[in-house]
Amino acid sequence: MNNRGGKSSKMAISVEDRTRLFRVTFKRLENEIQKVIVGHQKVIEGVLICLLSKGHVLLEGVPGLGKTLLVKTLSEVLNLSFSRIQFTPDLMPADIIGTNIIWESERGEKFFRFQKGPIFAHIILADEINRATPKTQSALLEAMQEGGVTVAGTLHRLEEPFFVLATQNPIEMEGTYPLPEAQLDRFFFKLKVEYPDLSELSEIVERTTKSEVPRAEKITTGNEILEMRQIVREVPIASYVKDYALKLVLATHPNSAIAPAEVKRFVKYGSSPRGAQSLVLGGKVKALIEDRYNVSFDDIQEVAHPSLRHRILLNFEGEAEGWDSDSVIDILLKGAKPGE
Amino acid sequence: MEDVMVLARKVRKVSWKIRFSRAIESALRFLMGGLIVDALFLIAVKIIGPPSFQFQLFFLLIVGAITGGILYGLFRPLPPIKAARLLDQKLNLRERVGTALELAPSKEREWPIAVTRDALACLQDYPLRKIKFRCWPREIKILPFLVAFLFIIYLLPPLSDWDFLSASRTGILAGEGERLEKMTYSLQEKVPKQEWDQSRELLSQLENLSQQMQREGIGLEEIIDRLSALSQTAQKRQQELEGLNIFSEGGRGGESGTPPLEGDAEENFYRLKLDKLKQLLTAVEGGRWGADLESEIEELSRDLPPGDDSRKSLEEVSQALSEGKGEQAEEELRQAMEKIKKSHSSSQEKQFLNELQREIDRSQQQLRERKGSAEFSPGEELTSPSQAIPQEKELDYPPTEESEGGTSAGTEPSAHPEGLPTERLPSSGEEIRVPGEFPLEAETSLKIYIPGGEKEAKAGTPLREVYPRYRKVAEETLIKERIPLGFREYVKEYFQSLEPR
Repeated sequence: MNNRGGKSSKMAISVEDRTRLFRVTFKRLENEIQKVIVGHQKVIEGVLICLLSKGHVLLEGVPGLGKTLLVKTLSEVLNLSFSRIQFTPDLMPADIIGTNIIWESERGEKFFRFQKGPIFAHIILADEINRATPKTQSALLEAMQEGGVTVAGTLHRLEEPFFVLATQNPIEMEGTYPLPEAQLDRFFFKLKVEYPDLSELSEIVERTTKSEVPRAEKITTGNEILEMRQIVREVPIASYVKDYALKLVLATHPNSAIAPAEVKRFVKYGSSPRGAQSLVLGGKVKALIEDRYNVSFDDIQEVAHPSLRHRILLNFEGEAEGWDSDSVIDILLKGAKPGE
Repeated sequence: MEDVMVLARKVRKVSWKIRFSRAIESALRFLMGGLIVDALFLIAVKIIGPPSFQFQLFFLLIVGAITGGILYGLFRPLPPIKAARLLDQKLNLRERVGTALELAPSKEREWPIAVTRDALACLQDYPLRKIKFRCWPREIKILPFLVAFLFIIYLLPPLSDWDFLSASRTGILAGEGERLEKMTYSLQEKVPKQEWDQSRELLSQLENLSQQMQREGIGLEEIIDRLSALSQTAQKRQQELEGLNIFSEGGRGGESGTPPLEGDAEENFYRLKLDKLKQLLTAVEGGRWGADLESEIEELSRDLPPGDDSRKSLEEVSQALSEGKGEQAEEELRQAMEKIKKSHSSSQEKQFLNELQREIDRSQQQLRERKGSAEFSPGEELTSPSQAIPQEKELDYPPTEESEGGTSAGTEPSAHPEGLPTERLPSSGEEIRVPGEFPLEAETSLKIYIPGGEKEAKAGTPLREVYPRYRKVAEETLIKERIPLGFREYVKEYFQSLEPR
């Protein structure tokens, strides 16, 4: 998995071997994270899919469910630099991306020098992102989408792999600023961190109340992650499977002809094209980790919820009737028959 | 490339299985469509009556639907990619085969080969010969209901039989209650039902005979015999129902220029003619026409009046027989019989009308002669009640005094030989006299006095006294009768609004 060999080394290894290595690495990463994090298999898988699809993830859950621990563990197993930014109402954009400060040389000359902010890391934890003002939230926009920040007319590239994990609390809405739609759309997946069941809770208590705290080992490097990202993009997808993904996205729009009645009634805005990208790339990663060389309808369906749930905006009637975007996606998956 | 060819061959083999399953599936779908059309057809038959070809059309639709479905399923285009997708779906191969076939023409070789190998490896685990594709359409669940529905429609009586049911339902809804319901059902059980049954029996016999004729190719003679028997039964039935017999009333000859025959003589004449014609018809039906038959017909036609239509028909019969056209003669004989019957009945009617007119003229003549002695002519109208008040004193009442008795029983002359007049009912209204009909030979007229009703009468009982009784009856009716729930309140409110205050 060394990228130094370039194209010649890629050609030397067959597709079967590369995908096998991908699958093994993925499983090792998953197992290593699960040494520290109890349960949350779906969340861990979703976070890794996002990482390998070159996307960013928004984790939503009440405090104390291990969101921050998950991100820290991920940085440990990947052997990548890690920054945690605690979003507060008084946090300013410069606090995130950095600023130019005056420096004085040995000869006494003064000049501006860019002081990098915490965003200059491989893995960023934007904790409680909805507590900062929209202005500050927007500071993440360019970084997430372009992989760089511009300060005083100078573009500063962020080192790859760059991976943002944001968390938000769904219950304490007072004093928060809900993420703007443009910001939400930049997250590849939105994962819901559910409360653990009894056995998981018991395991959490067992692990965290001993003198020995489990530690995750380094499994892979940033370069290997980039190589895995390259494999993901090579996975072929049949035209009719791709059409199915696109129809799912189109059906989220209330003005679309193929939208079901519930969407027409309860949805205000549907998914952007980023939703379709998310479905296809997520489906590719799912195919690879399930030992396949092609994307299936099932892969698309499995990533439909995390890909689309934050991209569907309900109208007032939908919210008043108690609908949420997940139930709309369920309707879409039932209505759109694969292969038709 | 070799792997792709192997995969394509496998898919081609499977595609025939898919075609056969689709043939069965579409045949079943088309059959259900045909059954729906059949149901509509049966409903139409129940409403407007059956055509002669109903069963042929029924089965033609079903057979046509199945055949069309099979052909459609077999020859419907099935591209290899589509077959591959169905195979993926059937074996749960997660779109491996479909993707491999779709990627086969691409220039990039590494991933398509990997996908094709993966698909072939998966297919090796499945014996393709044993694969069975779904033949049953999703809508097959409704087939039993469809057949049951069709059978129910078939068993339902024609719409014309539903008049009683609908009438009774309307009656019940209108609030007339059980009385109307019972009356309707009793009507349904009695006369109309019997008549319908008998008529249906005759019709069904005729239909069976027709079907038997088509099925077995029965000879014409046998069919004619059966038809004659049925026709006699039907005629008898008609006579029973209508209470008519053309020979029972006895005509008196017509005004067609022939000398009128008197009563029984004419009856016997036509009876004989008809009997003779029937015999001749039987002879012609049996194919026994010849010179003797011709002479008999000529003889019969000579007995008829010269201008009579039936005589002309008989002459045509005779001519047809002489030319050897037995069937034509048979048909014309039948027409001749009909004409004789018609002319006989029409001459009877005309005779009766003429006599009636003559009687009317004679009566009017007598009346004109007697004008002045009678108060009113039959043609005059009453213009006012006072005009009808009698001027005679013979029916003056009430009697003012009783006459004294005679010396012995029956010796005392009485002022009222026809008996005492009826005691007059107390009434303040005006009297109206209605003149009786004048008998043609009568000398005196009969007059009837009808006491008039109260004018501007007022109800003698106050509403306060009758209201509780009426209300009680209304409440009982509300409980007993089947009144729709929505209307109960209306009825209640109506009676409450009548309550005296």
